[in-house]
Amino acid sequence: MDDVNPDTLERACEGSIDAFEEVYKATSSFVYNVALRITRNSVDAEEVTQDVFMKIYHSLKDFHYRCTFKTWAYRITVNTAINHYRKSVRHQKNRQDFDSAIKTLPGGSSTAEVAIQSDNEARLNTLLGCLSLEHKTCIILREIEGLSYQEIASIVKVPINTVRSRLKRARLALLEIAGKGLV
Amino acid sequence: MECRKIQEYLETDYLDGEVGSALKQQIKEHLAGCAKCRRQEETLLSQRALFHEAKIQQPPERIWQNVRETIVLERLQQENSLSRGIFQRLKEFIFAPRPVFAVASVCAVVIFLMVVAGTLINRSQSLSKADVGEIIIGYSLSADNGDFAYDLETDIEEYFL
Repeated sequence: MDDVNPDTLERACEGSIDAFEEVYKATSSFVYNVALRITRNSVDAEEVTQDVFMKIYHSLKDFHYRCTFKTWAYRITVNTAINHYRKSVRHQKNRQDFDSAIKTLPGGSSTAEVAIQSDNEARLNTLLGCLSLEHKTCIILREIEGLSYQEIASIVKVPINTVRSRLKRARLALLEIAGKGLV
Repeated sequence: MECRKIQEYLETDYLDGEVGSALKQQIKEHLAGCAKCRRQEETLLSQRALFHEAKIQQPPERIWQNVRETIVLERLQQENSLSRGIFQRLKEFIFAPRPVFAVASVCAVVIFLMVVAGTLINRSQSLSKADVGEIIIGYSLSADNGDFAYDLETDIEEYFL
């Protein structure tokens, strides 16, 4: 994701709804996808995305460019998604929902492609579901969002070595799960 | 470099492109001659492929509609509360001092009662003093005339009289 234009942010900060829509269009994809991978549920992901943008809207005036907008938005997303996930897990233990994959696939895909895609999605979701929230967050930001160690460290607010160690543990855990044939 | 160290790099920095070119070259050379580490690299790469194949989902259009609606609603509420604020303050100015008026009224009634009671008491006291004065005056007047109004009825008095 490219960082949002400061002029757009300035206008959004002044209350322009069109400028805020631009901010939304530039960032909603990663917000939704990170939320979807952390919560593993499309309904929760929608709620988290909406919540994140309301938080951004309310606290845009407090954003003083201490970090990039991208890092700030990722941080809000990760924290909101984690909190939402924790709450929903408390309410509904061992919940698994893979509805989003099939529903949102483009109409032009063949049945075989849809089956493979949905199978991969289900596998990925199951693997991610086996990881702790900290490991899951790091691996999502690295593997799906393609962020650097430095960026992940800024978002999660941990040292780079912690990011490195979490990624290593997450990968080894995933290999172990896959090796045991659990997925 | 040892296989253990190479595998550590494979699991983290090498796989994530966080190593410098010199180290990368070293690792590549090791991989070229070590089947075990190459297998580990392949396993990690195939695991990574699963993430890369993950489809980037587009957020449903209704999310923005909801966000927009919520923002518009919030702004309307703020505007309403702002205009309502003026009326509220006016209303408070007019109606809020009611208890103050009630307390003031009670105080006024109490003060009035005290004043009335005080006046009545003073009046009765002054009346009783006036009676005593009249008696004394009457007594002294009678005394001046040598005609006592009181029947003393004592022996000593009779003796002197």
